[in-house]
Amino acid sequence: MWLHILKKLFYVLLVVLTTTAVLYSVARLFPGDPITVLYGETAPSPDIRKLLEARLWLDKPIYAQLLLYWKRLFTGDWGVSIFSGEPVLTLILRRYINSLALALATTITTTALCVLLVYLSTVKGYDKIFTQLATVSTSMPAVLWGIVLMLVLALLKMPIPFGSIVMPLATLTIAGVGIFYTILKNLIEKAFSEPFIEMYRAVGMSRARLFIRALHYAMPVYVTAVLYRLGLIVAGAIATETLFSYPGMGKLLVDAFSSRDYPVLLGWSAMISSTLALLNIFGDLLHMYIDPRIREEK
Amino acid sequence: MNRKFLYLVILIIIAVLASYVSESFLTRRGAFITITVPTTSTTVYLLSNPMQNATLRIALSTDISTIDIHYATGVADFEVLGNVYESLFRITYNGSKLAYIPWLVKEFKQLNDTAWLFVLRNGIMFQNGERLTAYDVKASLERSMRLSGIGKQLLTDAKGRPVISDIVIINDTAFIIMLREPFTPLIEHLAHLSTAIMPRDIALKYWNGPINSTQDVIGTGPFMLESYEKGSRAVLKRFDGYWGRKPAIQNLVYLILPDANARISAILSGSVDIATGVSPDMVNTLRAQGIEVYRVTGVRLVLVAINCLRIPDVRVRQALNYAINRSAIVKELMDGYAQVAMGIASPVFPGAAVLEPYNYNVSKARELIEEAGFAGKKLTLLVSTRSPKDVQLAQVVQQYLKAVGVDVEIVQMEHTAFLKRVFIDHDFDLAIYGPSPSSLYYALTYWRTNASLNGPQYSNPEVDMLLDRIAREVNESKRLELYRDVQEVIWRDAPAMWLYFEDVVVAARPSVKGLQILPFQKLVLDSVYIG
Repeated sequence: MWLHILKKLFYVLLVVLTTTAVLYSVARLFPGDPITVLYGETAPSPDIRKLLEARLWLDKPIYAQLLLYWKRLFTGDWGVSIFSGEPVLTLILRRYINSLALALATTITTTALCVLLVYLSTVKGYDKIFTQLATVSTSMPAVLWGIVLMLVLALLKMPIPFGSIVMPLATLTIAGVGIFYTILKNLIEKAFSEPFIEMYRAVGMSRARLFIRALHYAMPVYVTAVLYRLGLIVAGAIATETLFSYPGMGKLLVDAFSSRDYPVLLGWSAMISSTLALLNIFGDLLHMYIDPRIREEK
Repeated sequence: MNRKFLYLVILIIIAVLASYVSESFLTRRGAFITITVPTTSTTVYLLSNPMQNATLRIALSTDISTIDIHYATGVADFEVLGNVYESLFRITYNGSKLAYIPWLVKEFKQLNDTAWLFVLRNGIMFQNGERLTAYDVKASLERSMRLSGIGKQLLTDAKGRPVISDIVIINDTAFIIMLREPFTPLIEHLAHLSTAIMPRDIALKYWNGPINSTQDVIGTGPFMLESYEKGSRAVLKRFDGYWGRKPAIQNLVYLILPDANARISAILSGSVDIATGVSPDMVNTLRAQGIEVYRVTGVRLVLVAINCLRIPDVRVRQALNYAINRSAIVKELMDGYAQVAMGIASPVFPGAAVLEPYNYNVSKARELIEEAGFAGKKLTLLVSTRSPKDVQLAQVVQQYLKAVGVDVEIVQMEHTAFLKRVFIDHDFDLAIYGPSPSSLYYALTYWRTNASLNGPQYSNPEVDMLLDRIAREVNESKRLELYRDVQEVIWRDAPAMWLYFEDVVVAARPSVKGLQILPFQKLVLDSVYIG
């Protein structure tokens, strides 16, 4: 059991090292560097350029820089951002917590909404309208929903809270409800067709109680799907974050890449790759815990 | 089957109705008074400024790239940091021309050809409580000449040597700037924010690189930088020890909203009071909703640089200039919110010459191209994706050039990669960009041989020589003549297709009073109050 976990952690380490290597190489090889960004159309004199290159970790070739960085990564010295001077670790932690909050909140609201809708649909029978709403929700990407929401608020002359979590939360929930409603509904219906449900029915359990049992049965698969999306939101809600000026990881990536802020980019990739890998493992363990059958196998 | 179909039809009808209703809301007239705003910035002089605890929220379209004023290059940098820092002189706009007025300096006098005496005002405090002295000025100017790309551009001569040979301090408030040779644009260049004054200890602390702590962002300006969340917002607070007229605004919040829709929605819903980067096609929508729109002739000259090493024949370059219908572009692409370029520097600069226009003349263009043997050549046109209007412009240019027999392939590039390709590698045939100079002399130094802003690598010894003479010519009318001559030479040599000067368009809610705008896309918040 512990060997199993250790193997999984080694896998996480491998993922982190590979991701940082790839992202850093791509960023370095892409034309342009932070000195060009600092100076814009003007250019520094060669000696100033040399000075800055030494300070900004640009004087050594990519692989040497990378090895140095890996050493720093594990001692906790993640460097400082080239532009704001803030230590990368605090910057990324702050953005990461914001993104995590957004992802968790979205997951909770989406799941709550889905459970409610599926309950209404399977137990009470309001099926057709919800299916159509789900289709509408999945037919537009999140960023379009964001713009629609923004326009609606503007029409109603309500102030739009830029920078707060409310807007991205609402946008991602609306955009995500469709697909999770469909997944959960299918899972619940499949659960309802299982023999043990019939047995409970025969014993006289109410439909509501049955629903909860079916939910338990459907949870493992649903949780896996949701965790996957959670990871995606943490790293990739870029367009939504940009639209509402929410300081999260997605926007950080875009800003850091366009200003070639290498220390931030490296820290970003280390954080995100380890998060996604760990989420994967967590999903596995959760699956094992919720579903007794898999536990038996191991 | 029927039920489902009915639901679907109802849903579609609702969607269509909703879009129609929302559109009519947005362009509704009649219920609101359309406010006609004068086409120049309104200068409102208030005798007394009501002190308020008001917060002014401004939406910017790009993020600031640095918190160090000597590294500031973008419009957003100068907009935000221009509230914190000040220079010895200040650029003002009276509605038609720019003027450069003494600001931190109380009086100044030219002692001889190469020495200028300056006396600072008394009682100017930095935001950290220290008093402004000549020592701070010396350190700041030296740092600017050392580290700042723009600062160096402004204060170096043709051979790349600093114009200023020494700054001699007489006492706490008086100093003499000694020049290597006479340099007439000195005053104008000391008005640029890239030569802003910071405390001496901070300048020395960051002698080798950019300021990277918000605690060290200290200037003499009316606002202090309180916090900065990269990519999201910058918050400034009024500095109560400011030497000048204290602003009525207590808090300034700059929200960074790169999406144009977000900025429009923000100002319509009241989330921000002022929005910059307003696209001309949104102006009518905004006015219909009661939002005031200010416009000012800008300094940004949008041009298509022509690589002079790859296209050395001046006839071809002139032909490209004749092939474009500028007034059509201004009318259709910019909705009239631009001025056709009649010269190489914006008409707001004193001394900007109006030159013989390159009229839209397809046959002449064709003729010149045939003569030069250039017909049927293929060129690549680089454009940065940072400005959507520039990308649209690229397509328009492609069409015009096709009509005269030149095939153009458009290559869109991410902004930093574009900068590297055009200004460092000089690897392009044609490139669209728009320099924003702060003075006429600066606008012309772009075209000096080997200048760092000389993307097309244009080189004409006559131009270099004329620019040197202008810098030394003390007689003003003679100088204006020389300015006209050099502009004519560059205009005729056509190292670029001269297109138009973009207007600066800013939207503000009607409660914002006393707003002024500089042609550099800089808001002047001295007299702003919420009324």
